Amino acid sequence: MSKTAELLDPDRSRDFAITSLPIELQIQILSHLAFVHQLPAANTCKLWRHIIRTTPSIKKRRYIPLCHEGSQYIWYIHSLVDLTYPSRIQTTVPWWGGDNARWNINSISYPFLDEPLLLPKTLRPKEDPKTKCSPTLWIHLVAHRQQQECQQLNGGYNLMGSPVNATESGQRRFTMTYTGTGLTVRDLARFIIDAGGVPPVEAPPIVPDFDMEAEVEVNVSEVLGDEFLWLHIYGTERLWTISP
Amino acid sequence: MSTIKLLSSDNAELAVDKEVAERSILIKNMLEDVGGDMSDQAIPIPNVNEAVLRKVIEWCEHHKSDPPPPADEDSDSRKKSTDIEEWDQKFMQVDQEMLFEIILAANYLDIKPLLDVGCKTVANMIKGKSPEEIRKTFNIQNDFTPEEEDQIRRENEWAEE
Repeated sequence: MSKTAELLDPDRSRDFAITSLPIELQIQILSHLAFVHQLPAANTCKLWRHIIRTTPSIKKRRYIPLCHEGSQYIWYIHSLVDLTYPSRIQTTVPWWGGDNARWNINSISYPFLDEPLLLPKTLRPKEDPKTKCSPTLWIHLVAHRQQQECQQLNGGYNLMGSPVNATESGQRRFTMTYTGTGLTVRDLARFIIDAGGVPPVEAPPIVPDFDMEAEVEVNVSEVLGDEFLWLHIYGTERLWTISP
Repeated sequence: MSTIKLLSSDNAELAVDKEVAERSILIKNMLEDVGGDMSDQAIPIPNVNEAVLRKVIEWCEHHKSDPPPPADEDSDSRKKSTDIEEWDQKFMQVDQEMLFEIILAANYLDIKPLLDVGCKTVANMIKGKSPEEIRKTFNIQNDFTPEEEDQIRRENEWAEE
């Protein structure tokens, strides 16, 4: 009996599972999933978990191209730092959390946090001349606080009104050097948390969903003259957004 | 226009326009190998039964004048989108067994665009579902050990709320 006939047998068909398709076909199916849909699929069974974590063509889909207008370079950055993926790093790790935040980051065991922040060279599209990234990338981090509707969140501490200016909010720049592909998403998260240990003005109580905004400036001036890429990182369940 | 005959796994003989049948790279190569004329003899397709073969031919018929797919294997644009054209969406509204049969047949017969449509259709069925819903939809056995289940829970604590 051929495989096809076997599968059409009514008694067999009830047992038929997608996981009995040839592996390469399962890979093809799963490689159509965008990053947000990869995680639930990876949590269904061992095989899919393995496929989604390790297959290069599927890994590649976890990275989005980031290209500043006029730049001759494209950075492929992990979707966890993406505008379309609702990053929850901030929720778990309050920006102003200090030691508390450091404790929180340790409790994150998100499966893709230990992947490279930037797409490894070997996975970059071959023919694209824009993918010749310099091995060095400086990340500067500038933090300032957003003062919106915090009143009800932090028990009467009123931050409504004019924007807190940079000095008041304790703007600081932090530099982190990136070489090769060694830097992981977790490194960036940890770096942000460490940088976020800045004591806030007038020390408002820590509120996990405190609405705040930070900017991560990915400064590639070393390579590109004076070009910048800005990653705006919002608090709570907002997105990490990237704008030129 | 010349017609050829295909013989399904369950011994059904189907007459098809050569041009339509050549959407299958397997059949196209086969015909080239034998020097073209197969009008008197049916080509056996031992992996595909009549019902599935008819479905596949229906697809080839509709898409017979499509431009050839881009040769670039690495082409991201092809993979990125799960958009499926309307006719193909309707075509793929079949039960799951048939859907997988079509995917298997497209793979065997080497009809890349059909294989793509099939895979995208399944991918669309995965989208937006929880792991449990995915398992139910596709009859997938949860084979994680309690330790692994624990780890998955920890990994997802922060994402669920």
